[in-house]
Amino acid sequence: MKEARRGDDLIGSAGTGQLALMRVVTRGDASRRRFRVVQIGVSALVCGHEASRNVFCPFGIHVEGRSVMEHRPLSEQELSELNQWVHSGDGLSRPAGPDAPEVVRKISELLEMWESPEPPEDLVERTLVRTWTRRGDGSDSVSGFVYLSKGNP
Amino acid sequence: MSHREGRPQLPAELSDEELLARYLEGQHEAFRALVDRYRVELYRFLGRFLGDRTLADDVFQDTFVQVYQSAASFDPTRRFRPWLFAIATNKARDALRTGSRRYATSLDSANETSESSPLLRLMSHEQPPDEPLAHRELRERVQRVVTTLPSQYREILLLAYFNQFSYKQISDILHIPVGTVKSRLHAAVTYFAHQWKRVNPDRWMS
Repeated sequence: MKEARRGDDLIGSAGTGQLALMRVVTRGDASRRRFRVVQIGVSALVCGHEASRNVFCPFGIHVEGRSVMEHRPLSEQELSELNQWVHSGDGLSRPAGPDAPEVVRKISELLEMWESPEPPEDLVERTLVRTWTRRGDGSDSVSGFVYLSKGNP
Repeated sequence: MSHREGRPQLPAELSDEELLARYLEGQHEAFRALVDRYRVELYRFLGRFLGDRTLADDVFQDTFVQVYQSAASFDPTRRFRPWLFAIATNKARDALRTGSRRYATSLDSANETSESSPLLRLMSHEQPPDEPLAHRELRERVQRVVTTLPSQYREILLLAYFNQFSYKQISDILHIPVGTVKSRLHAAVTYFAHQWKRVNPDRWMS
């Protein structure tokens, strides 16, 4: 989906580990999320706040064919349907593919392979030396210490 | 010899904020303890973000110089760690902005051989000799993709994924609204997935 139109229903993060069902009220570029929405419903807890830090919450997924006409909390029945839909993976594999659980898992595995550089043994000593021991022109003197800034010996 | 030998010991259970407070009271060993405590975590963050160990080393030092200079203005009701990372991120961005040693490569270079990337060259020296070839190859492919990530995506992935900051903390560190944290994180993952598929069309989800 490239363009969000008035009346489109979207599902997004409610910021509380829940999903918000939203209605687009202005036109805009959906891929950049440059449009306004009103929240028209919220799901039951999808992922706990702690867990959601590593499990990227579904966000910005276009809900095709779903319609909640009133601006009100969802009924039990609607919540149940929404949660069923969320957990079925039906919507998660559509257009925002990277949010699909299997994709998130795969990306997590790949990111684990991001190189993990080890600090040099003497990093702490050198940091302290740079911070404390060299004395400059006195302009940065604080509590008896002088900081020698880069390029200002 | 351990660099801690011969120096007064501080209780290990002191929080970061307590260490900073002790330092401000004149206990300089507390400052050393803070630097030591973040030696690995902060260096890794900077190393991954900047893609260059020398630069990471430099920015690490600059960060603590800034902590030293600004310690008196630290709000003790807040957490030290996000404050430290906010300083580090700003310093790292400044370092990237100077451009002299920027190693973020173009998308096209993601297809080049590992010899073309300084990060990969460094990494290749650290491979365990018995690491299976397929695994090593996969690591190098991942490395090629992460070096193509724009810096704003790299920083948010690192803060959220590796350093485990909450959305609110990331919002404070990067000075952006929580909603922007979420959408940028989403965009970063999308970008990563897209690049991975582009560079490894045969290996996606395999």
